[in-house]
Amino acid sequence: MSPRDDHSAHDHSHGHGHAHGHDHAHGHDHSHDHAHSHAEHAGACPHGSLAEHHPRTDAVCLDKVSYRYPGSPVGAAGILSPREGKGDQPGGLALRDVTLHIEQGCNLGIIGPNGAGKTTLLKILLGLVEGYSGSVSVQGLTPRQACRRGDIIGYVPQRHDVEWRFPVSVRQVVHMGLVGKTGLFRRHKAEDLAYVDHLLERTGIADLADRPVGDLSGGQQQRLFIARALAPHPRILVLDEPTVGIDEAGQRQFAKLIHEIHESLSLTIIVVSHDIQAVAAGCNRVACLRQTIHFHDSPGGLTRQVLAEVFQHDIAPASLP
Amino acid sequence: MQAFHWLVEFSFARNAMLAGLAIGSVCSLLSVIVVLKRMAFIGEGVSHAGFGGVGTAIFLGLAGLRQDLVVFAFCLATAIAIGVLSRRRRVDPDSAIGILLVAAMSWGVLMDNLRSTFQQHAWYQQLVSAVGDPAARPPGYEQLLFGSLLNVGQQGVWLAFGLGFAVLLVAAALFKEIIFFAFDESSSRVFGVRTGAIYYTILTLLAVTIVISIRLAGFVLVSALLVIPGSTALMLSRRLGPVFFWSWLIGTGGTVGGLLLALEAGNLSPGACIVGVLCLVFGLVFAARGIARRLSMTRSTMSP
Repeated sequence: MSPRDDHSAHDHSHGHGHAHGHDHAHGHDHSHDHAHSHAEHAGACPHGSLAEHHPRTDAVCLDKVSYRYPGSPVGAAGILSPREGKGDQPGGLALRDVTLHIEQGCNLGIIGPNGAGKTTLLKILLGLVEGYSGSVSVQGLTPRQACRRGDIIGYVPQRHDVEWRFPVSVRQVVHMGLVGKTGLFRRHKAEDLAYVDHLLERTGIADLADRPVGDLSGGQQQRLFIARALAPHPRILVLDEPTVGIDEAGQRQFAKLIHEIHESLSLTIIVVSHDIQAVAAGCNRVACLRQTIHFHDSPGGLTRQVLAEVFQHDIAPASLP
Repeated sequence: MQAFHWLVEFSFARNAMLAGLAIGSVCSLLSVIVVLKRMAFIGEGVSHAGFGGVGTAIFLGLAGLRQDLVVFAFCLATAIAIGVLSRRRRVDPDSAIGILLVAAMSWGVLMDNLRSTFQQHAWYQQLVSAVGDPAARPPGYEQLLFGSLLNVGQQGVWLAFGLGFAVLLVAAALFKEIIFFAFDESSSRVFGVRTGAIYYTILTLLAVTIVISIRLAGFVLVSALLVIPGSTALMLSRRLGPVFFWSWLIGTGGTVGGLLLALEAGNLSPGACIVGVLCLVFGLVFAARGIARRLSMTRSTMSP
């Protein structure tokens, strides 16, 4: 994305953001206040450095998180197996002493090569993997608690994780996003359903709302999942490899949409990807992961050397500075 | 026209028909979820496990409602064992089902064998008279495996309607969770669905459904009612509402049609007749869809 593109997307989203805030000020006093208070943190995010973060304002805190793949042969004294460096092997160490504080309102890209532990880190954040050491908090809750609330994490899974022949319409899939917020044995609230319609408009799939999900193209499937993730008014949006299988035009459109969402809804965005370019273009923060965090700052600081360290498979993590 | 004569004349035929309506409705609606969540083989495993329950009940001289309870215990235990084994990922789910299925069936056969072995022993006669009804005559294998019209009775009708209604009520109350769970399990968990609870609830509903269906359809054939209506309906529509409607129509239609066929012929197993009709419908829809697709393809290649 060129700087000019970036600028126009910015302006546009500002206009949109105001209109959106206004729309919902009547029905959604609460969420409006929310957005406002978050915007202040969001403004500070690109300039703040890792050293001077304030724990209370962090959206996600990981402290010394390590995770070993199940079935690993650990010695009696807890001596690590010689395979330590090969994170993708069964029995290997997937994550080692990951400490990552993600500020409120920041747009963070987590990048790393295959087998770097990205998926494991993501699953820990989403409460899908337990049995790690260290501590993880998501808006002050454990990942499981945060998920059960239903309105804290919005999740955009990889598109190929889903059976697209499933007999549901686009709108029905977006309604699924409300399931935790609405709660057991209850029907979705009218205001939430109205917000879903708004999101369908906003992501540009309103005209497809009553079509079966199998009719969508790759880019449309992606926007469908973004709409679903935003439906419960989450405070954190988590995207798993969003650029896989999307053409260049689709990727640009996607980056613009994420930028608009970030500006207008003032939520924390976490993108996990192996695609450095896509992440560097859209995010105001980057973390490089290979078993542990090698770098965490604004994308400007990403040097060739850092990338070589993270993406080169043959260097054992122990030999890194 | 023999069938209608039977229906007017004899209460056992009416009971079978009423129970068939209830069972057909519940099984076919549940079958959409079973097929979408790819639980067809689980249904097979749970229903065959009921045979172990019947063997145990026969050994103890239990009949009627108490026999159903033992069958239910076996089905539920198998369902939960399958769930635990496959969710902990210690054993491949398919292997777990394969093992539990034959384990429960051979247990049933062994219990039945032991009954005839011990029949003359005083301690066994005491046990049976203490626990069950010594006068109860065990149903034959064929009835157990392939169902029987005579097995249903007034009680079977009440059970089918009462428990069937309860199953549908629970499924309807958890509908949005169940559908999200079937669509994408791990995402549903992130969005707040308690996936473990939903999974075991579905397994329990399956066990209840199988117990009420066994008297009429038999162990071997009840799983057909949990697979064929849903699979056929999914070929007919890609929308959730119509898929449930078609599945219901095919399931109840197939059950009623199969029972009429069994009554008409007089000596055919009702379970086999029901499955036959369902398979016929499945085959016709499958063929019709293939023809329709080929026609639309030639039309699109012929038009400029």
